[in-house]
Amino acid sequence: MQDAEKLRGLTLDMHALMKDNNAEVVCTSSIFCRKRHRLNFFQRWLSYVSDDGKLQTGQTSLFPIFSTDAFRKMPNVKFLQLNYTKFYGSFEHFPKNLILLFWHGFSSRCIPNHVCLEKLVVLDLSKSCLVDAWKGKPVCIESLAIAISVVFN
Amino acid sequence: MEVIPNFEVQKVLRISYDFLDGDYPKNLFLDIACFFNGMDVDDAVRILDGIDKGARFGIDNLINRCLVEINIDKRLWMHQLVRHMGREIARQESHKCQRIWCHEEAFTVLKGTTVNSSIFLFVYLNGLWCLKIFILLLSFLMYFQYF
Repeated sequence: MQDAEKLRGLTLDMHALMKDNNAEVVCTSSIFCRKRHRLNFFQRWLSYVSDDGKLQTGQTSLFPIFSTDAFRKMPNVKFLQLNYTKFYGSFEHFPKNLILLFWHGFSSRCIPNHVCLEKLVVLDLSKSCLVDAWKGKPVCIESLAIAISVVFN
Repeated sequence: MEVIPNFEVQKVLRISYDFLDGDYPKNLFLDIACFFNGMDVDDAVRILDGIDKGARFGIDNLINRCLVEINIDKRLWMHQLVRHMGREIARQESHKCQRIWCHEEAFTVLKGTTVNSSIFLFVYLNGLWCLKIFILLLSFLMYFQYF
């Protein structure tokens, strides 16, 4: 994606992808049987990954885990919604000018060090696994309009 | 209608958008269409003020032009057709400024792969395999007919 530097906002909700409301009919046809499946996006992705042999052997769950390299392509993003997503890697390229961050189901125990929240206005980390959110971080949030709704499990 | 909005309706609706003066109200309209539909007005104003001051004024301007409404429970609301128009414009202008509101697209952007095309390829290859067997059968039949 060559234009991703111009990315202004991105919304992704894994739970929405797993719902059936945008399922597509996928035909697998052969002479002996003709099957029609209604697959939602996530199932289609799974079938694609497993057919292609791209499934990593060390992966313990089928839940997709994204690489934080994806953030490298979006330095100027303003609105980000990453509900129920998981990432691996370092967060050093996490966008710096973020205004809005929705990350329901944030899976880490504390907010990663490189996550810069200085321009943030709204931070919603509901249903997250946070234990010590601001551990070791010099919190310097001045635009304090933050509506943190952290729900500790 | 969901995926490909009606062209004629769009053209009429787009007039109001094109008459918005300057980039700021246009961007504001597209942001609301893509991300802030259904959000509390005060929250949305606070967030949008984080980018540029004067969001409240901008939203009032959009309300005057009937592009946005405020519900009884103080939420930003757009008519479905207007929202589709806004999202379509956002899609067309993605070379300038990209707004990814579709979860599936966001997924592929983060994964860095295009999923749909490869699924089609898979189905297509399956089809080819059928064709091969069909031709084989046909040739067998012709062979037996010949003798």
